[in-house]
Amino acid sequence: MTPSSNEVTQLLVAWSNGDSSARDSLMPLVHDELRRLAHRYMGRERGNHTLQTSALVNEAYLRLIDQKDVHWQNRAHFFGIAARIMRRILVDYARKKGFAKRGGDLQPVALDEAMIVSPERAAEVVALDDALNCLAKLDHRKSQIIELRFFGGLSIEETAEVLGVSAGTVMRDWTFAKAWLRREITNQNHDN
Amino acid sequence: MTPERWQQIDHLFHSVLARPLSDRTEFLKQACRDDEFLRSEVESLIESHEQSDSFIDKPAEDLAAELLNVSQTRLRPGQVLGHYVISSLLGVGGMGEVYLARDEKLGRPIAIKLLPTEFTNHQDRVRRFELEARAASALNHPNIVTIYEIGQSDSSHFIATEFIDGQTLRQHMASLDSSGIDIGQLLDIAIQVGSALAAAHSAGIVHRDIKPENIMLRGDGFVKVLDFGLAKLALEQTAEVPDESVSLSMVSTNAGVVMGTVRYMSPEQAKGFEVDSRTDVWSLGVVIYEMVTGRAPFQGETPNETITKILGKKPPLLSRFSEVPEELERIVAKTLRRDREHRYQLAGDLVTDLKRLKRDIETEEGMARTSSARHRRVRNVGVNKKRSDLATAHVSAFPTVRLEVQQSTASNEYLRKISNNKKAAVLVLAALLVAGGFGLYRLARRNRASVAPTIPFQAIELLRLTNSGRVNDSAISPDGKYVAYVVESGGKQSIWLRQIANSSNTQMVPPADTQFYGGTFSRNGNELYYIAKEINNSIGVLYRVPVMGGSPLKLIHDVDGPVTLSPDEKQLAFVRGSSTGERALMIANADGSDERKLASRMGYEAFSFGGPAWSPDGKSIVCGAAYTEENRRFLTVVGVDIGDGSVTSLTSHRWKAIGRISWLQDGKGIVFTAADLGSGSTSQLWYMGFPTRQAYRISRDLQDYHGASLTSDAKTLVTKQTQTLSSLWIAPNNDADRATEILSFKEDSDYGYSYYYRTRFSWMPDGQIMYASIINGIPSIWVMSATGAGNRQLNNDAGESTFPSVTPDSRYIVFLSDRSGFSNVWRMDLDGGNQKPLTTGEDESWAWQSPDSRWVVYHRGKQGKRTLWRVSIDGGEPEQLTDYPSVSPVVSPDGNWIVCYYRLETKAPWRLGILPFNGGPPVKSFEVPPGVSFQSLVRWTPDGSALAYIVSRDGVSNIWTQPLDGGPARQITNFKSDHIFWFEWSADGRQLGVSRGAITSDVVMIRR
Repeated sequence: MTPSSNEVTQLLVAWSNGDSSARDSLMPLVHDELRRLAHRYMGRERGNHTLQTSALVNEAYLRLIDQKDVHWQNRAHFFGIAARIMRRILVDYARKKGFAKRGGDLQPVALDEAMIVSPERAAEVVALDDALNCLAKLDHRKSQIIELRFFGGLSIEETAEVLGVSAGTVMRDWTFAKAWLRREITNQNHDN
Repeated sequence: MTPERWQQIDHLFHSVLARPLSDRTEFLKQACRDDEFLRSEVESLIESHEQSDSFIDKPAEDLAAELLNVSQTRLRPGQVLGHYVISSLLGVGGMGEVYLARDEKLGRPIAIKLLPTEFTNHQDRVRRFELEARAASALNHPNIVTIYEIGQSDSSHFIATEFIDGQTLRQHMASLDSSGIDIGQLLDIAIQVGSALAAAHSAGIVHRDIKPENIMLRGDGFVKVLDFGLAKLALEQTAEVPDESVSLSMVSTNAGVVMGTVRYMSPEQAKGFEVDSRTDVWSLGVVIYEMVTGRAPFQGETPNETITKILGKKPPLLSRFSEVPEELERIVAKTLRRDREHRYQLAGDLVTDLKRLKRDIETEEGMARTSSARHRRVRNVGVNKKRSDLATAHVSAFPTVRLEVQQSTASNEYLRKISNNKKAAVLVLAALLVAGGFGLYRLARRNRASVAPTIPFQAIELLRLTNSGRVNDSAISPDGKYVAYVVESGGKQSIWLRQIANSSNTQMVPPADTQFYGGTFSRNGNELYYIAKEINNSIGVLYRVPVMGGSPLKLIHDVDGPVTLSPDEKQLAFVRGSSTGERALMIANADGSDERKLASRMGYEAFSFGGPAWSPDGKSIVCGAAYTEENRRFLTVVGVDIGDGSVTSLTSHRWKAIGRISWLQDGKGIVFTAADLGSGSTSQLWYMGFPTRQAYRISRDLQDYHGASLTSDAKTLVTKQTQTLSSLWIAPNNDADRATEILSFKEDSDYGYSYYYRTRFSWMPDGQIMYASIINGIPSIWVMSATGAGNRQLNNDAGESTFPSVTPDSRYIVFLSDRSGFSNVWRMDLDGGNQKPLTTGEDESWAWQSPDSRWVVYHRGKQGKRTLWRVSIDGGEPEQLTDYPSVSPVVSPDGNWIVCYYRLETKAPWRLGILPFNGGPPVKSFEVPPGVSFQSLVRWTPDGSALAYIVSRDGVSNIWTQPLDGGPARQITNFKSDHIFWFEWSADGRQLGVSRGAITSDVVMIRR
């Protein structure tokens, strides 16, 4: 457990109890831990292993949070945050690779210089991120569901737990949001 | 876009999706009228949905993998490491990179494994690893890879080992086609790995990371186990706290484990406990299981879910996937016992069993040879051909001598038979969709640390005490030494006592045509209270029996729910229902005398029968109680004051069912089973602490638990765990022997009564089949063809939709829905549109149509009494048909009669009666035939000349018919296993559909 585990745990509990400023303080801590862990994997994991985003997030949780002081709802909140951060890390990375339509400035990313992501893949993720921002304005919950499932690697049930809705609702929203996002992204491509 | 507009689009999108493809355009046109924007929005979304291929279906893991990978390895060909020259990269795993290299001194090829630097930061740990790895290698065992050197070059530690020319078991399994692995080869691999483990264990070395990646298959048939000691090194080096305390599980300390090998972890590993050789036995069991079935026994969508399954779920039997020898099933089950005390204690014992099985299979082959030499030759030609195909195509690791020796007719049979998923049904409705799995059984402490109560059973060990699948009730003695449980067999129930220390089972109460439940031990554990209710009689009688032998003593007549004892054991309390709808919390002396009513509640505000619990201070009794608010019914936990009988609600939490409650003896909390409100939620274990009165779910898994019984130290509890498997079978031309399975469901719970209603399916006049399914989380109505193809969902609404059938004139679907808060009869159009309630009563179910399509007959409950009613298919005022208790009406094919279960007096035995369609008393009456359970389906045969019903004996159901003219009853199906839940003839009477399956319930003991 890292030295900051107490702090992180308290922030998480505070946030779960409604203190929204705690969330802002929590974000960078979780972000750093995810990056740190990701770095550690790099020395070890290679292409023939599929890295699981959810496993990464899970380990970050186990490392950062003092299990005996938190409630399972806190855990759900944590996964919500982690999904958001994974999205940021991945989208930032994709943008910075310079393959994206917008915001590409060919800067190497902080994680590692030697990474390879196909230009198509990077562009897809950036387009998805843009479309997801639009979706959030129309229907926040649906955008959250995509974020948790796609970027956080959460199952339908876990997503339902995080959002406090039924699995059936998640399924429904997931189906709709996917269709919507796909349409948006396709249209975007045509527009360009 | 306005939120209303957005919602409109969302709603219409789903409505269109629920329609058959052919109707969608028309439906959309109708729904949008001249709202062109709406139409084009929904149309383009549907189009996008149809093309959704795999768009974002998989999490961004490949991206993350790319993101986090480096493109270079640490060594390049030609690079020199000591006196080794690197030739090429062989592979990369969580434990490092492996290279093929050449030993320049000895001129031989070797393998070099480069350890990740974070494993090697501490010299002393590396030295310990060296010792262990060398010790294993020094055993000189043919199945343990030989280590030549553990060395260091610059900052890199490496291991030089013999080079194994072959493939890993993982690669081998991946290369197999659908015919799967040959049993002979499977046993051979398992035996060799087991022998390696046995040798290592006897030298005090535990592998800790047995998995297909660590098992190498060499070309000559030898199996080599890699990486002894490495898992421990990885574990130690990545732990950032100095002591490996139990709170840090492997999950939290070893990323490599999280990434790859959770599936092979033993329960004790997953919980972070000290591991021993029995962990390797478990992991080898997982590997064997995977070789047979092609899938790991515990496999979740996320590592978390996988661990939840390892800790709590029994894997499906091997026989569900392949035909395997029973003995292999037993062996694998014994390696996968959650409690390591019950596993094979020695890898050597496992090897002995595997070898014996192998010999038996070979002997079978020998017998086949002597009895039919000619056949043998013919067959063997086939064998050789098949084998040589396989060898060239896939099994290059096993082409030669050993296989020739192993070849046998029997194993060749298995070669053909063991094919993955061959038995899989057309459509398996994955329980995953409904299943949670967040918690790892590690629930929660309260937010405010200052008042944090200790919630029991946060980290638990779950042990299955029975395996028969036929247990109905269980209780543990306060000292934890005994568990009493009820077993059902051959239609009779008996009470058994299990002594935990030596796992012995003794029969306490012999089998009888009686339902036993509500077992409660006296505090000293010497006596057991229980309730006995004769089959077909609803009066429960309370008995007390000495645990160590003696006759049961009858205490109180008419006890409905389990009893609870006062702390001084001078009194007991229970809930008694009456025909008026009253449910009273009764108190009596422990000998049954001086009964009195402490509190009473009526109808929809009644006490639960689940089982009350007397508080340790003696001042109150907690009990489940129902409430109705705004037409919604729910249950919560109430406290009843012993002094004045006043009832106080203890929590704002609401459930749909509350089972038996147990107090912690320190009075700080209660443990009970309950199902959360909402469709599809299962009955789980809950804890409520005092004085905070906060309710927490303890178990968060896929199972269904009923009844919590606690020891006085509150360290152990027993409960009943239930699982249901069901499938739909169709027999052509009424030939039940030719029945084929067209659809299968798996649920980890029985959902109480609602399950029963959901097992109803019905034939549509056009030969399709309509059924209720929870695939989307909420029971809703689906249609498919009689071959199981073309499944589609018809409705998707709040609440549970069950019990569907189509009117004979094909105009409407009639079904039950609880969306109003109560169960009512509804109808809708054949495409799922135009949904309309036909009735508005409080508790209506079992909707049956008249053959002229004009009426729906159903039963309606009021104040605990159910009577028959009918309502016009067009709605209107329902008409009452009976005023005596009567349920489950079925109309005769000529429309003149109704058959139902009935009784003329409350608490008299139920009988079967036939009454006129217009109602009134029964004109004909029968005893319920033996083996027919109350409220199970009794219907008319298509020609109306006989009644058909389900007879269950010893857990096996078959359909029987009884001619109404009094001729002998006849069995018309010949199933050898499983229950029948429902059956129905097609409209032309030529096909019989049967929904059947198994509901298994066992006692589990949970320790913390």
